[in-house]
Amino acid sequence: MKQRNRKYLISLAFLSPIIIMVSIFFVYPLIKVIIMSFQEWQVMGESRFIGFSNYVNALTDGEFWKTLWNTVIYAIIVTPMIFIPAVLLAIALRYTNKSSKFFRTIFFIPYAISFVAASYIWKWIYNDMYGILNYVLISFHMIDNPINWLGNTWLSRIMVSIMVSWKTLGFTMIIVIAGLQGIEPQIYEAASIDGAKKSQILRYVTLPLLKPTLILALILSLAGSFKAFDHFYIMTKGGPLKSTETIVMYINKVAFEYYNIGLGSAISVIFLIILLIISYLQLKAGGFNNE
Amino acid sequence: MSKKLLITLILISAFFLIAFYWAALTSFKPPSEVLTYPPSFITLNPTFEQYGKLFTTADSIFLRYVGNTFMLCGLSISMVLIMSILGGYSLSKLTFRGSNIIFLVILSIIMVPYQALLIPLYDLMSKLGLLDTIFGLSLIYATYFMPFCIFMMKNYFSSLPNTLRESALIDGASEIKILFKIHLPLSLPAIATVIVYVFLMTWNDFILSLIFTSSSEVRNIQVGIMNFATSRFTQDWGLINAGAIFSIIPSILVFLLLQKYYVEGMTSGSGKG
Amino acid sequence: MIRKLVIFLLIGCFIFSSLLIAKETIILWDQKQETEKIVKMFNEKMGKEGKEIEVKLELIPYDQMVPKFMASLSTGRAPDLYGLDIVQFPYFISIGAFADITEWAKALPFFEELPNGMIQVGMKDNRIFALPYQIDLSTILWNKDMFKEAGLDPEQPPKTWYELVEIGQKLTIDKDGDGIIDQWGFNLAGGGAGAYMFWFMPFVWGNGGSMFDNDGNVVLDSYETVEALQFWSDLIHKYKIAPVSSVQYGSGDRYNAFVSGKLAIYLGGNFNITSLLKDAPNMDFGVASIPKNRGSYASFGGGSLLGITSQCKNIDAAKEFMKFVYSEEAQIEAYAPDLQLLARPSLYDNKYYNEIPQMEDFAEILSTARTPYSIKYNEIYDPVQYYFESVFLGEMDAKTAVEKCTTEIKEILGK
Repeated sequence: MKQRNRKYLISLAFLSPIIIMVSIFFVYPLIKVIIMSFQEWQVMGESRFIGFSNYVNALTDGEFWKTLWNTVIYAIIVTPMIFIPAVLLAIALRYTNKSSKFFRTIFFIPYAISFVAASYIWKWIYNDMYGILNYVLISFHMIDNPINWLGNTWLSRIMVSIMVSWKTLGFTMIIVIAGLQGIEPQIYEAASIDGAKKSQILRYVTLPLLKPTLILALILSLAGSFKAFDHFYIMTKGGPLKSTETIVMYINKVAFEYYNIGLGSAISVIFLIILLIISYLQLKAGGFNNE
Repeated sequence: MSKKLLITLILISAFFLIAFYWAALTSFKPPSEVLTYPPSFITLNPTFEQYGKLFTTADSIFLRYVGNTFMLCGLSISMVLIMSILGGYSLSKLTFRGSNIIFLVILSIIMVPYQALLIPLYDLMSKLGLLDTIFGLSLIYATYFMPFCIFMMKNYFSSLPNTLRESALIDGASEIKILFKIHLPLSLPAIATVIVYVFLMTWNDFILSLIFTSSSEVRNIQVGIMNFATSRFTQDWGLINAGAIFSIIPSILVFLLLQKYYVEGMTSGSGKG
Repeated sequence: MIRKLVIFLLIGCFIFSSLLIAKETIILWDQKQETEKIVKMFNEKMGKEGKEIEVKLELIPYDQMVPKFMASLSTGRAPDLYGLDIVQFPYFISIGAFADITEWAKALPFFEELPNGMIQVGMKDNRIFALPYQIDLSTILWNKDMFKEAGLDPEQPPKTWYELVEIGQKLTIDKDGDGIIDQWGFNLAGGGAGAYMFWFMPFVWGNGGSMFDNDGNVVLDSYETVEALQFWSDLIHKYKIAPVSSVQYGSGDRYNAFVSGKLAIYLGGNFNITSLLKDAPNMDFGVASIPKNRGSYASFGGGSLLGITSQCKNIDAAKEFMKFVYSEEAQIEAYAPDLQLLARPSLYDNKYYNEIPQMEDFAEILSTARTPYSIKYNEIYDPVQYYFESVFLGEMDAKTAVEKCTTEIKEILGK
């Protein structure tokens, strides 16, 4: 009994810094944001409770829906742009040997750099006056006049997505490779003994077995798209015509530019709920339940 | 690997690398060559002028940004390392009733985006007087980058046999000694992963530094680059590219040096699906 | 043990008391590096005069000026003095963030010469809370070499909208005949509502229109505004003297185009002169008022005001510093060498300005400066940006845009 108490105390002592940090910087803010979302907040003076007004304001605010819509559209555009190439590359590089290791590293490197650096690098490539993209396309007579790649609503969404795909598909590729390597080689052998063609194996054996991994990677990337901020903040500032203003940018604007803390908190809580739903799907898909 | 596949892969790699090449090339061009059309794909007079400017303008403020970021990395890596080693050990080897709940709370941080907690965190930091301080920012980094590391350390320690600890206990060793003398030396890959992960997350962070710091003495390199890029009335692309290229060197170096552990660690939780 | 403790206590007391007799420190927030010079001069002067006042400058990046002030006010840690963006003052004065300095300010010997339009922005109910501090004016800059090449008189910038189109068309050139324009006559000022306010509003004013009347009512919904919006849109789509991409060009993009010889007439301001002299030493350029139509010349009176916050701990010391900021010594030796516009027009005849021909007309341009007054300035950015940009991109007609924009601004102000 004494032995067990000791173990318990030591364990608690080991966990105490974590418990302190988590309570101060996670649990408290989590409760606080919910409280603040029911308050009217004053810069100088006392805040007061105003019921659901902030939520009503958020849900009747056209811009809230617009930014949510922008975020969803972006997720819809960027997800296949990351996924299709990532899965194809993963299949091409699934066997570990010298050359595949080399290529994996190259495709993964952009994932290690910051969104800020990546955004500026690509913004410079897209630059309408001096950028190489326009130059190359004009030289090959694919376009007649320089295009302002980030100056048109749909085009800017796609161009930012290309950058994001370049930056993050390496990560998705690595996850899928890990998933592929987890498939027992005997299954392939059995399939080829049965006379299945390569494409058939891919369609009827590999993909179904890979489904859990794919779902997980999909949800990770979906959550990432919903949290998008850095690259839009730098590449488009939310323009043109607010078409690339994401929900996190909107929270930032309402809270730290307009200082409407109550409304910002209410939007944060709604955003939180959306992300929790996505995370719930992730849990169901087995992300962190596999020990 | 077939020839056709190899050529395709080389072409795709070229696409991946050309972005870096173009940025690096711009950063080495003399200022007069940056804003030219048609653009040149090679420069005959490579110079470090842009980098010189990067490190000397505004009283060498960029050096300050770099120093701040290294300091932030150092602080958050050490905090996360201590917490994830102690936490991972305690949650895997010293379990008690309730440790599962603690683990779930920690994991839930991964699910909750800190982007949704910016407002109360701002309020909290300002009340604690931690706004606009390197230490305060590193506390937030530590809190939000820690859960994944604890998760990983816990998994790693769990994979080590319990008999290690039990036989040491019989020999009269203390828990601290068992953890640091026996478990840690066996966990170097996991520790390397934690270091790379926290380094990359901290070095590359933008939004937290943007919101929780405001004076240039404490801002990190990413926000620093943005400050250089959007000085109100001019935009110096040579300088911006030099800043971007400089800022990605540490990330890539750390990643390349420790990529074996990092990639394994990152996929260990997800790959088995 | 006890002896050690006593020694520690003594040391502690010593440190504590030295803190108490330390100098009275005034915290100043500002965004311009050059202010360091003033602070240094002031602290030296105080040292010589034996006064226990010291000013400490904290530089705040432009985009953080509002959030940081909000946070500091709400926790009672506001600075003593703040040189804040002029357009933010009405709001902060309305919540009581600044101290009333009316009597003191009116007694200042140079009060009469300070630009009146900008003083108005620092006032509420006839009380004065802040004074014009650093001034930024919107103007056009033109490349005289390009004018010569196109056979135009390099000393005659466009003065009216009509001339802008006429001259602009002569300066919009496809040099190598590949169908791509290599040199544009003009660029719109895009990249955000701030840019529209700063460079587009002078076109509305220059056409006789306005955003607010003297009582603060929204009067944007006028034929004058519609016409000005249509004119900017026409510059791209009808007269084709500006590229459509310039709707998104930030100040930096236009600056680069001007420096690299791709742009002849450029919407900029006094703040561009120093960097242009450095980045394009061989370029011959001039500075002039933004072209007008049926109204009179106008420029956006931007920059910052200096005010004492209501949380200031030592108002007398803050006033002492403020007085020093406006002294001839401080203004000329700290701001004039970098060609910053001084708040006192009587000092424009100084040795630094006189060396630079481009600085010649600023006293006159300053007299045409206007600044819109709104306590919800940041929030009206949103409709302004959205509807104006829609018109410039050709996605909405000017009349509808102005109507909708006005309705939204009224809604925001009515809240």
